[in-house]
Amino acid sequence: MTKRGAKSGQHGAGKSAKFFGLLAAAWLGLVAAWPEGFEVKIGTFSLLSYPSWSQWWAPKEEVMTAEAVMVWLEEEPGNEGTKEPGNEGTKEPGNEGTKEPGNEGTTRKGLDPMAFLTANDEARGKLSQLFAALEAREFGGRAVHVFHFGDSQIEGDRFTATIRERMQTAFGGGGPGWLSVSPPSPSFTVNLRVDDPERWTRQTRYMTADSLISDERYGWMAARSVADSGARFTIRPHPRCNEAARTWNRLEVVWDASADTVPISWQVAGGGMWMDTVLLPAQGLGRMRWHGEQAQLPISVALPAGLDRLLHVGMWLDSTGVVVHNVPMRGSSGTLFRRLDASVLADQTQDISPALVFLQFGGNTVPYLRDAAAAERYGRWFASNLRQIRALMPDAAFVIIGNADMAENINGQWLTKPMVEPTRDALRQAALLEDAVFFDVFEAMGGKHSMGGWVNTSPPLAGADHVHFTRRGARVLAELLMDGLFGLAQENATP
Amino acid sequence: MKEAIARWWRDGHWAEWLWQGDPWSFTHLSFWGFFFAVLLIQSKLEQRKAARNAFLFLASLWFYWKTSGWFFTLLLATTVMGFFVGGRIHRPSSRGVQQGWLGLGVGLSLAFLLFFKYAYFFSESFEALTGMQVALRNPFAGLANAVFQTGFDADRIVLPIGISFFTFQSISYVVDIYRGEVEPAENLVDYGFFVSFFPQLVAGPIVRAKDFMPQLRRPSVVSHAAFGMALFWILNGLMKKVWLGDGLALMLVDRVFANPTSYTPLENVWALYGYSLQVYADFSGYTDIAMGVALLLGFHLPQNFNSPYKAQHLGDFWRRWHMSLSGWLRDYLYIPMGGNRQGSLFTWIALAFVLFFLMLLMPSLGGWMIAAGIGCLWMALGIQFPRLGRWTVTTFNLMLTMLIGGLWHGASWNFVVWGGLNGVGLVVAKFWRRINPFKGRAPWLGILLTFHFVTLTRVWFRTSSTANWEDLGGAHDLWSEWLTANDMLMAMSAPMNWALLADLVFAYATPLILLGTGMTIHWLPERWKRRYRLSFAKSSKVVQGFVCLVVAGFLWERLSTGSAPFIYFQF
Repeated sequence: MTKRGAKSGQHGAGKSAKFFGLLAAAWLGLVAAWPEGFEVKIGTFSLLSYPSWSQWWAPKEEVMTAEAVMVWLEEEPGNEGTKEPGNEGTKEPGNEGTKEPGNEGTTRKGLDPMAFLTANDEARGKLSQLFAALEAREFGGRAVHVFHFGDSQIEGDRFTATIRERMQTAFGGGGPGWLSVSPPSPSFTVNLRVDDPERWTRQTRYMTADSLISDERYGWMAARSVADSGARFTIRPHPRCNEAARTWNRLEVVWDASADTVPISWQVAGGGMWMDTVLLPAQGLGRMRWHGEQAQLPISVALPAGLDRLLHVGMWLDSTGVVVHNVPMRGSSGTLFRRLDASVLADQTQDISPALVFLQFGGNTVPYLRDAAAAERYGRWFASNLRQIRALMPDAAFVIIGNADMAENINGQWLTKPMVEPTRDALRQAALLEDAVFFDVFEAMGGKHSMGGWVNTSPPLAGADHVHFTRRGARVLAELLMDGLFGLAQENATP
Repeated sequence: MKEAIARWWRDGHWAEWLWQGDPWSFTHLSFWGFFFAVLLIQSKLEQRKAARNAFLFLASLWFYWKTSGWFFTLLLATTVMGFFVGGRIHRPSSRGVQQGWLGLGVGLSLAFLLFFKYAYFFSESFEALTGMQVALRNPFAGLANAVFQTGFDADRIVLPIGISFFTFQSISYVVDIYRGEVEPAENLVDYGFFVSFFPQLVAGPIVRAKDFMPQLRRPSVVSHAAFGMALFWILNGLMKKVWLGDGLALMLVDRVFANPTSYTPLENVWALYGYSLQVYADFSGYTDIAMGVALLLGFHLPQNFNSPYKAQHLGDFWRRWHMSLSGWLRDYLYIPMGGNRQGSLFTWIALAFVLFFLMLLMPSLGGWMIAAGIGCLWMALGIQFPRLGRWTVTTFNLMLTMLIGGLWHGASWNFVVWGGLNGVGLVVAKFWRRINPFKGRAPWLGILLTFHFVTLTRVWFRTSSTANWEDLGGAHDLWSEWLTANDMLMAMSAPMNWALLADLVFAYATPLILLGTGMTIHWLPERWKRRYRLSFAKSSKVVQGFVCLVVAGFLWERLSTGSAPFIYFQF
């Protein structure tokens, strides 16, 4: 074969280059033909997507790198001090990128935690009164209940573990708080093992609620477990559970007495417990309390044999002082409280008088909001739920933990989703309206386009989904939150 | 557009693209810009072999510079050393002299590998044993700083990407020359090109000189069908890596492995199976792209995967998984040890090597005594029962090969367990094949068993691997890795609350669909796959171009800086 013949029968590198060149031109042609870009989606999963013309040629955004995150978290105090609470939104995006690495190590942690808190006078006053009362041990021998409601960001006791640790260290207290027999995810605080899972059925008001259930008698966990006769569970200490959470002296079990046969003798084995109180109302919630001197895990709890079925609403382990309950509701936006049967909610907390409530929602709404107006509507809806909770817990101080940065891959960069900031603004507005303290997680992370940096630190502070924090990341933010709250309470304390 | 190009030029991004910035990985758009430039220049050199080889060698060094910076000097040093030693071995001289050169070549290659891969491990073990602090210094970084005025941190040892792969290629080259299986390269450029050919430089397949060197002496020939096939491999590899592998990692695997006890048993099981598919999609995806890119340049790389989850037993699996490494371990480790026939001096050396690592992993007197006890017991059994002795020797050959294979991935207990389980699995599978009364019947049962066993061993493999660019080459946190593996096993064995099933399926619908789709495609009959591959390869350029555009639409968001590194970059 001649050289020419050989050439024509082959597909040399030149032809390959030409093919790829034409391909690139065709790509640009497509992008130009659809200047707005186009996308084929299944649910939230992008199946096929072409960039918009402006996106394609846009300069790269200044995103926060992992190094910048480390610098941000270790910055000199005062650098952010000029930022007034509430003015976070005016911070220019991209400033994070200009931070010079190398400042790290000059101080242990230099962020001003109070810069991320927004609160009106009412909220400040209530929080500082509570902290002063706790400081003075005014609650005597009672348990002081702190609730932390949230979405999947708080699963596995994330955030809550730090809140609990800080408050119990400062004001005393013990126990891991509220437990669920069938939680959406196991907790690090205690390891609750259901011995015969087939006897337990879980019903939730969030995620895929069972449409055949017509009542709303779920209680504050928005979830309940239906137990069959002889159902059992065992509570064990988790190897990573801290000492305070491991130490408790009271177990309280609550069930819906109006719906079921009332059990009169739950059996508790281990832990050195004895029966304290039994409340068996004709309707509403039944309660049973066990007491013990410094009771220890593990303990086993079994329902009596011969029982038809029982709607188990919740239980907790606590002791004198602060007890912090972790209540995760996967997929929830914090707008289901108004749907829940208020009489059950009131009944459940009537004799414990919650003192402080954290609400951490918003992330699940971000992907579904179309514009800022929709975010405002969400904020109003959230505020109405907050109002409902306040009415049921009138003595409590409230803290709203804002939504975190959530990133999506745009043009090869992990950029903040468009509705993250409007959602944050709406939540802050709701908090101010309802006299709650607002903690701006988004700004505490470093602001716009910071999530990518949190994912890439070593070890990572956030997960690869660019949505959820790792335990380490959650701890960093929860420490900032608690530093801020202690600071705020101190600042507003009356001499 | 004009403004964007002007900005690219004005702001010096072109220089960043050329010299610094993100590494050129197959999943970065910048790599394809580089490859386009290579194709353009290659088109002028196709018929001039020497010039072509020299150009591709330089392009490969540039590629390695972008991937690993000044470590390209290490690649150069390995190249020069391998070429020089290979030439010396080939010179007529006594067997002893040849063996001396061979020992030097293999020893130096291994020394580089051991230093970069295990320096932290050795120093930590030494500290644990003696209680003395070791100030670890990187002499290569110090040298580079002195010579090139670079700013390396000489107190930190970073693993050069791909070092395992080019070191193994270098070792196989000198051994093959010693065995007389291959002629040495004609010149340094040809040899350098063989060692550093960029498509396979950082994660294989491990190419043998006898397969690759003859291609250097031929002009590049790419038929139309080969072009189509190359395109198919590239698209197939990209879809595997980005769409399947990264998709599973992002939506399921990484979050569960980061914190197994926060998830239900079912989520843990899904994550494990997800990882089994992810690691295959990631690694075989890389190989597919490497094969495609090499083919477009006129070179053939060996097959590295052959639908491994179709394997009917564990031996079959290792013949289908990472075939170039399995083959390498077989030819340069297992057979020199005596294979399945006998033991040799090499068995003892390998045993000492593995025991040394195990003792360092367990830095206590008790650990040393256990290791010595195992050795003595083995010797006593061999002397007392010669037949049993032979069986134990050949079994040990297999076990040692797998343990060294495990340690090759990293000095971590988890990799030891992973390698050990595979070794035990191979021994059991070998024994079972001998006594299996159902031979030839229900092959699907063997496939299922093998797949599940391999998947289970991934618990230890994944918990010792990293998913971040920043963590590549870092030291292993042995205790944390061990705890994570235990956490996962504990979480998987906890009783499952099946009332959560609907919620979980709803929450993980997308990754579950990915998992199902991936496994279905994997288990399609080979003849179906061949048919659609050939159909694509023979289709018109318009059809091929259209498919390329659709696939690019699938992947464009990730075909830049967003994708995670290939898993095997860290080894």
